[in-house]
Amino acid sequence: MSRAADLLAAALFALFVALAVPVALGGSLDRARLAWYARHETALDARRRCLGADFVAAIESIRRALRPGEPYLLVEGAQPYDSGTYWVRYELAPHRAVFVGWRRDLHRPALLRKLRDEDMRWVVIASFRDAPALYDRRALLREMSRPNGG
Amino acid sequence: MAVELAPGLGGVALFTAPGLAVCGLAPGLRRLPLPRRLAYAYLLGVATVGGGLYALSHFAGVPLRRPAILAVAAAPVLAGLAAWGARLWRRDRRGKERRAGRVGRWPWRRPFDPGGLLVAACAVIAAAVCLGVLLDAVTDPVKDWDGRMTWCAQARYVRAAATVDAAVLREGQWFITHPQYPLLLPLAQVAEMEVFGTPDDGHAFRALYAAFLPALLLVAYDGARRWAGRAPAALVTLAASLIPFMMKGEGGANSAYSDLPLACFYGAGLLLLLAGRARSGDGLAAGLLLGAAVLTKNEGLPYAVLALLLGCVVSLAPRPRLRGSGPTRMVHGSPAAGTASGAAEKSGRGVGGRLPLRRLAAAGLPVVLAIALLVAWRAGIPNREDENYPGFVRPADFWPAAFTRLPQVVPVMLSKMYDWEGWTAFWWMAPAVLVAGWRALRRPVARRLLIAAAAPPAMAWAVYSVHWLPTYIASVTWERFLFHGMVPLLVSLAIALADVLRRTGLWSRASS
Repeated sequence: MSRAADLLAAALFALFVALAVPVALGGSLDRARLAWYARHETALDARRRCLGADFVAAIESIRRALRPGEPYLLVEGAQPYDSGTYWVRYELAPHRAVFVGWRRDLHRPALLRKLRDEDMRWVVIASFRDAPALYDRRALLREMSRPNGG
Repeated sequence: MAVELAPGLGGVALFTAPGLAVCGLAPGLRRLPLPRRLAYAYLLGVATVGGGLYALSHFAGVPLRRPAILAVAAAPVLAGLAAWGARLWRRDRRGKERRAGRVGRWPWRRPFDPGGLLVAACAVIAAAVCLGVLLDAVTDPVKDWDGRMTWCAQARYVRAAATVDAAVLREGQWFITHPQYPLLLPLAQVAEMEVFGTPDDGHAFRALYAAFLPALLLVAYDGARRWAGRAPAALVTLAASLIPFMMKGEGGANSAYSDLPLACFYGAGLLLLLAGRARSGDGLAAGLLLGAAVLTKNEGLPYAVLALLLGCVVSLAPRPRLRGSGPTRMVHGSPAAGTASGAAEKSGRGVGGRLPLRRLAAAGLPVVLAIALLVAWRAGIPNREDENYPGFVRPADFWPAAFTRLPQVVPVMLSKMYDWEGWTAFWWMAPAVLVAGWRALRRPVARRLLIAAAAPPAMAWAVYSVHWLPTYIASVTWERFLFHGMVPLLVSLAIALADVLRRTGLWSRASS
């Protein structure tokens, strides 16, 4: 019985290695191929390839709009826990962000007050799937105050 | 990709060079072959340079810019060079006659060694896997969740402010996730970016995270070789390098999470303590690694305390007296154990008595300093966007939730472990080998290793017992908790595999 257990364990080990070696080496080969293909890429090219050209273009445009060190208001444009805000915040760091809330809740008095009271020029509406959008805070408030706005 | 390669590799060297100097302080590490010494050196380099910058920035307000970073990295190198020169001078005076009679042997004149061939084959495959990880690091930007949400975002804020006390952390109105998470890895990232002048959008720093994979494999190999022999150590290290989660999982080497570094620091510090070496230098190296674990992730603190407790047990346990003589002396039926005790005997201390507590004190001091630094740094940071377990957990919460929640979380845990994409068949193989090799796991060192490997899953169990979304948190953290205890698990696996191979006769030189 004990010998059978030993043989089974040894066989499972051999089987694991036999199955996993091609997977691991195949993965490494794929990475090597990609590295070769991307050998002349700049960091910007790599971001466009991995994050999407639209997303990167939007981020670059927001960065140009923000003055050095200027903070901004951040709104989650999609569903709660969709967390586009995390991705956009990373891209815009070291600009500091104040989180306002979810876009669908912006009409609520508490969020509206926050949006009104913060002395910041820009509001960024983030989404995990779509490119982030930059709004002038006052223009956004005006738009929201219109009938059917927001 | 090409533009990221040089700063990426340079960043690894930035930490490895001072780490090699720190290795020189520890006799047990100084004598290791170069690849394994480099692994410990990298970890010690991140620990000393990162930890030093952390303390200098917080306590002395030293700006995290190139001059300070280079000075902190150069200090151990210069001290190490001086110590090396002094050692050479002493050795020259004492050992001229001894070396005069020594004749070198060319490798190709050595007898055929199947164990060496196996080790070489395993090393080639593991190196190919690590190379793939490095290539990914210098090709793609950070794409993983926590890397962008927490670690790399913090690095950008800290770099811009040139201090670990950045306003974005200390002023409560700013939107930041886990502001009280320890910053050792983001600091290492900042150091690399500052020294090599890479822009925030560059991703050369990912090589720092990738380098922890070969470090983990070599540290695990070192421990496994010490207690299980060369062939089982090589096989288990190969097996570890084949786990897809180690490379591409959320927390693996391709991500910018702090879980792989934590596994390295905890595992390496633990192994140094369990090795029972009597010198204070080895204890200090273990303490630096465990201190780094404290400064890497919240879980590092309990792991470091557990490792110190296990080290305390080793220090206080009576050492077995050696039987017989020569290189194959057997202690507890294992030649490897005989070698370990032989090393203790060579040091002139510890064998047949008790290991000195001075080594343990040397290990404890950096951990205490790291905890003090962390507490002092956190004191000025209002916590937000964080689970804040100490704020809501009461001891009564664990009962009966620790058991009543198991039907919810165990299926999630099993589905993660038996996911082919993440682990292939690792969790089919590992329990079978551990059960079959149970006799070898009765050795004291194996018992301690198993306790150390069980600590992270036990902590996960505690977390899932009190968290308000147990199945969700299990689905995103269980594999990482398994990962934290990977080094002691792999060494235990090697000990069991050695027993299995020896008794089946499949590898008669399993403990060679």
